[in-house]
Amino acid sequence: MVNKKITKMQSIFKKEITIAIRDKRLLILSILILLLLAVALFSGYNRFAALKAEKVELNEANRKDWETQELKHAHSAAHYGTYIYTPQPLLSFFDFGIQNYTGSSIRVEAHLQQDAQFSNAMESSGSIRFGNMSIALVLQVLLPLLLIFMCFNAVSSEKENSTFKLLLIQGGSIKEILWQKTAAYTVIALTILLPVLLMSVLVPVINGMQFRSEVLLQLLLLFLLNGAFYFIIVALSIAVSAISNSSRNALMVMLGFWLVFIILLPKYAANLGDDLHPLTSKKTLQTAIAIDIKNGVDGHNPNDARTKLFIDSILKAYKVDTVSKLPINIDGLMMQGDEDYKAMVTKKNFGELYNQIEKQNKVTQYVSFINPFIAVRDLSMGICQTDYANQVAFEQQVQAYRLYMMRYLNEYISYRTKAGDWDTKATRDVFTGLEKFTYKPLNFYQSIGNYSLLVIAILIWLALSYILIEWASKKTRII
Amino acid sequence: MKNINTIFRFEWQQLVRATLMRWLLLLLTACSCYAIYYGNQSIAMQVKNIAFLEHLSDSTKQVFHNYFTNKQVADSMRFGWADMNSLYDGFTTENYLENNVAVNKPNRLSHLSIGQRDIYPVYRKVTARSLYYDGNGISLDDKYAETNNPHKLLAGNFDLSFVFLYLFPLLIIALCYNILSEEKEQGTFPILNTQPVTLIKIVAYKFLFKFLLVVALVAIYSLLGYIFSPVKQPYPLLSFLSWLIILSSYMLFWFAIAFLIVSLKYNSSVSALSLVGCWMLFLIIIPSLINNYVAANYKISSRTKFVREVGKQIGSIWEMNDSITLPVYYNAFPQFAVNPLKPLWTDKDSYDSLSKNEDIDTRYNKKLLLYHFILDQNIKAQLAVYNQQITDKLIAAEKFAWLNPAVTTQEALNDISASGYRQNQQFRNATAAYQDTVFNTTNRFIFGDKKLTLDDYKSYPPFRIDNTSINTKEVISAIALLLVLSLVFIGLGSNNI
Repeated sequence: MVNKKITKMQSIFKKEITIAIRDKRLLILSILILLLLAVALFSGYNRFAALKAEKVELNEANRKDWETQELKHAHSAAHYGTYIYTPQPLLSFFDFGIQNYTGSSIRVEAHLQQDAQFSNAMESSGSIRFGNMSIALVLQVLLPLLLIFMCFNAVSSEKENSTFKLLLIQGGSIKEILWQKTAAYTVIALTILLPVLLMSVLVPVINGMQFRSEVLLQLLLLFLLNGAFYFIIVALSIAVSAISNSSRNALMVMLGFWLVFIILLPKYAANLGDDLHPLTSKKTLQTAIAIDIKNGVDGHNPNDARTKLFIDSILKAYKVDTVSKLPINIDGLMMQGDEDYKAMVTKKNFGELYNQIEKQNKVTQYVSFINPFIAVRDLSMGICQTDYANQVAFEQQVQAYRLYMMRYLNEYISYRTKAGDWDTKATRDVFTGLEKFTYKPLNFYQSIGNYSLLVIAILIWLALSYILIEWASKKTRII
Repeated sequence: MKNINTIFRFEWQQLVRATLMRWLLLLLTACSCYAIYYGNQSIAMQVKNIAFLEHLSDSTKQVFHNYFTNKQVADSMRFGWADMNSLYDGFTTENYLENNVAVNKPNRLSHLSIGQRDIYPVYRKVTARSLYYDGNGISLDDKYAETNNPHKLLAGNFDLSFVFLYLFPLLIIALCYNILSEEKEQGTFPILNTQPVTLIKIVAYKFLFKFLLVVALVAIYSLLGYIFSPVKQPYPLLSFLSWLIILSSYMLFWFAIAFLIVSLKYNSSVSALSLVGCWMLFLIIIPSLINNYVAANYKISSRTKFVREVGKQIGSIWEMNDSITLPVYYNAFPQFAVNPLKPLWTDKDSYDSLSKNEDIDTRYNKKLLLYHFILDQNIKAQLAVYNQQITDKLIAAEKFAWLNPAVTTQEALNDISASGYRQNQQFRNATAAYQDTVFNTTNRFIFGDKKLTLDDYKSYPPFRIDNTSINTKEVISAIALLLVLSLVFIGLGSNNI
């Protein structure tokens, strides 16, 4: 008897899937979505591959420029400097994240700590604000709409066609019917999602990319994340469809949800963060840094009071009374003192700016408790390593490298050249001896660690969806 | 006339009584008001930052004026080099211009369509030095851009143009999707057919009513935005009118689509879904596919090549012999030519005596100005390539304009609000021209061996750009495009009815 009941109820599950497949319009829409996914996958992958190749090539060319530069004084070489390009994470083909809006390279040179420059948006027209066709866009924005189109009348039309009573006569409860329908549409969503993720493994492999096992974990998480999102959407649609008095109303409500969750709230949340934690302008920061530095050692101007203190401390350390008796070249030490001081001052001022940005993003994260889309969007970027945390990690590592590079050159000047000698050229090995910059990407746990709030939000939304269906099954009237 | 009255009155009653409509209008009004508030906030911030830049520039210049008039100068404002003699020295202009900036100010409508204003730099430092090597290292536009939260840039601006472009079409869809199907579903369709007025006329009047309603809303919100602007500078009526005309044409475009779908006489749900599909197509799918195309065809290396070229030149020009560089300069400025050629700087000259020996100081100034002149000459070719690449990328999406009405409209609005790429290009060109002027002025003193006076400083050329003029050609072509598309859809639709 029990078994029989289960098979009967499973038939609702089967029926929903059959209906969805037989509905030509839905089939066409699904095919369109799959087509867009294919376009997004291939253009995304090509873009990733081109960017990756270009950045690797540029980094190598810059390094070669550095090593083969015309022989010059070590400090001139420090001014000559170099550029370091951002890494291109593999899964950027899946979710481009914020990469259009972040600088693609950082200039490394003497005296100045530059921020990342050359963003794609800087050289783009207003069109870029309409977004790129990426897998993430299709999965997070378009597919939910398709699910809404599929589900909005799943229960309401049964009521309108008076088939709802028939279903109930066959032995199911309202609760079971709603759950069967939810399960059916979630499965449909997953059948669209699964091949996308399989292709996301296949395409890089076919193209001969080295595949770290971590990537499989990332893709698995993307599957779970998007799957959870679809379950939430389907459950919401089914519940709304069950308690609405007409299909038309159910559609309007769900389209309203889609509009508010996916189009309006994300913009509003970002703006709210900006309102609550406004950023200091760059010029204000630069002025503050300049004032701070005025009180510090100036690399080219030994008349400052601070410089005098610095020189005195060096003289004391070497137990001599004038600079000319020093066994080392004090110019190098002075410039390094200046670099350290400036780095400290810059970190103090720009560090505050980074904190403000983190606070802004936290505001958005809190909004994800009322809007699951935000949680999915940000977690997806985090998983694909195209979010702000990864950009900051890169920038910090480059700044640390810059300090290393300056110290390396300044120490060479201090210990290997004579005071006041700004002409003698450094030998080739000085340039080739400088270590290369290697980026250590955030490991997976560091990347995800920033998003614990979002994970909680998704879990809460999953629980809410469960409660919603249970609640709706009590609220549904059988007419 | 009587018919149109009846239909308009009927439509108005329908509108006022429908709950969904009331909610939608409320939501739209709330969004529009918030959008105006938000735009106001962000542009007010920009205005504040610009005021700070101008304050810096003014106070630096004031210190000079005070030196000249022997007024007291606060210690914190004193310059390290400031002995009175150096005030008259040609290259002191560099210190005078230390905080001199070319600013791309927002105009009265900028807050309604923020466009790329939050990404492009709104100012550039301009001195006699090369724009690309300004005494603080190599500098491209990026250097002057504001530091932003990239997540916020990705989310985009909630400005009035967003409300008009994204939300108003949804209002239009809600207003129109059931114009015919509703009559059928209510069973009133046969009654319509028995009227002495033709069906197409009734439908046309219904659409006309709704179109006028939407255009009225556009005008009201735009006017509200115009009034609550952080920029109080007067604004030409013609530019504001073009704003309204572009938006009305955009709304007409959406009505035309709605008309086409309605003419196919599907039931209400199918019509609604098809229209939402069109909305996705024109606002998300087409623009993002075109962006992919643009991204696939352009590389990041254009800047790199240029920057490497500048880097190479910076390293080698100072070492170049004056007998090579001076003739190039004299060729451009024959009035300052010295015959026979005399080198400006030799190995015997020492930097240490710069502040003590006026002759050495003068020659050093000339050498420095010459350096920047030669630098600009030598990077000219690569700069042209670089600028061309930027332009190519910027206009790459333009060839799809006929397929991409939403982006075309957005760019036209950005033109009017001085926040689009075309206006930014104008600003870049104006900045380059201004740098030329500043160079020539400084040059007159340095190579003309003239001492500077207070009046010379006071009459130093300021930067000017007209940020309210509109590019008539671009505006008209956007309007034409929207009207042609609308006519095509309306034509197709009329055939069906």
